[in-house]
Amino acid sequence: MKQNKNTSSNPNPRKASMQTYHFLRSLAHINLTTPLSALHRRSRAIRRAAYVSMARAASPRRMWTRAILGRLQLLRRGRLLRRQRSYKKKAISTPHDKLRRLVPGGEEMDFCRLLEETVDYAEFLSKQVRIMESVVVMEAESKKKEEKV
Amino acid sequence: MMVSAFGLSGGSRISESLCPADFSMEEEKQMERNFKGKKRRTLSECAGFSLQSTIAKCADAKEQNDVSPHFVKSSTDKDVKKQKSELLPCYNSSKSATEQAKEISQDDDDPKEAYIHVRAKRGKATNSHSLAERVRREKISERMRILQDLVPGCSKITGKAVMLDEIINYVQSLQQQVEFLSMKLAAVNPELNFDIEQNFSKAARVGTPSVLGLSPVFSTPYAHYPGAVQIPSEMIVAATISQLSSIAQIENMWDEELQNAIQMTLIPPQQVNNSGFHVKDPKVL
Repeated sequence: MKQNKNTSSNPNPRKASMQTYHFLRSLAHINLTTPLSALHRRSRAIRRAAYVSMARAASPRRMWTRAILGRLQLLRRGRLLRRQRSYKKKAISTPHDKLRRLVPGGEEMDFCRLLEETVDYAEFLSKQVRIMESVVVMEAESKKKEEKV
Repeated sequence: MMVSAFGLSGGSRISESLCPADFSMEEEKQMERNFKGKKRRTLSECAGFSLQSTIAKCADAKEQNDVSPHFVKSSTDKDVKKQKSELLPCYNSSKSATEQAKEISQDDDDPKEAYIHVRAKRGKATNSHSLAERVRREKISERMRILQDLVPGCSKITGKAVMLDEIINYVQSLQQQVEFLSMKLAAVNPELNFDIEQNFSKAARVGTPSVLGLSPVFSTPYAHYPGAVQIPSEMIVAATISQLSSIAQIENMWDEELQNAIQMTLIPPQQVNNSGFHVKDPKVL
């Protein structure tokens, strides 16, 4: 999905809230473009927006950010070969493999590096979950307020 | 006699000069690596190794002409402890030995300072391979410790396998939460009054403790995860209520921003084919 360009200034430029900012912008964009009827497509787009805003906020030196943004590029050009990947899926041989598959870009890293990436990834993932939860809560709150008024 | 004759600083050098011809190519490389290479070893072990080899070689040289490298090599790893115990009277403790080793290394004027210098501990193997293994293991255990602090409810777990399972479960549950929340967000709102200000202040306030299970709606998918911390929703609500005064201003600002943004980005929305995507596959966007 396309992202809005950062043309307007962020009202509160804080380091911790880059993720929030990106996510909210993309969320607003999704609300405009995709209608409520296409629920599946909307949820897909929102999930993609969540991961991309995570990757944007994190350091680009990380393997998982590069993997996510690379996937976004491929998706934009419509060349994502997911069929090929599903054939290559092997049975889980080592316990490491499961973790490798969970963390994006974790296929070609040694275990040491994988743990490092997992730490970073888990941090940003939990932040993203918190952001999304707070958005839902605020929507519920504002709806309640509207109904009262 | 040979032990006492060796000076502390020049021990291994003397050994080298004594039997230079007898050293096989492998051992020469190894000796070079000892002093000028990537890893440093304690003096006791270096000297032990070299002494052992020289003793063995010179003893053998008297009897036979050719020294089999196998004999020397096999003796090092097995008997290095014995040699160390013999060498103990010369070298007081491993601490002083490491100091001596430092002197040696400084004498050798090692140019390769970029490498990580590892000291082989007493009573452990001195292979370069096992040293590398040890470094790697230490790195891994350090990262596991960090992860232990990150994953809630894992302070009591010891052991890599169980810890790894916990980590996998945690990451999986986080990804499932993202999925669930994205579906919920898709259903909830076409509203445009996104209160960015509220979210920023909330993000700044809550900080690190993870917020799980805010409302009864959320409790069921998260309940399976044992370490879930529940923060009462009143805290969040209080935070939001305090910000509600600025809603109207932010609404206007947001609308303007959006209109500007939409006009500037004139790319038509792409039609992405999402039908075939498996729900639980987080790898595919």
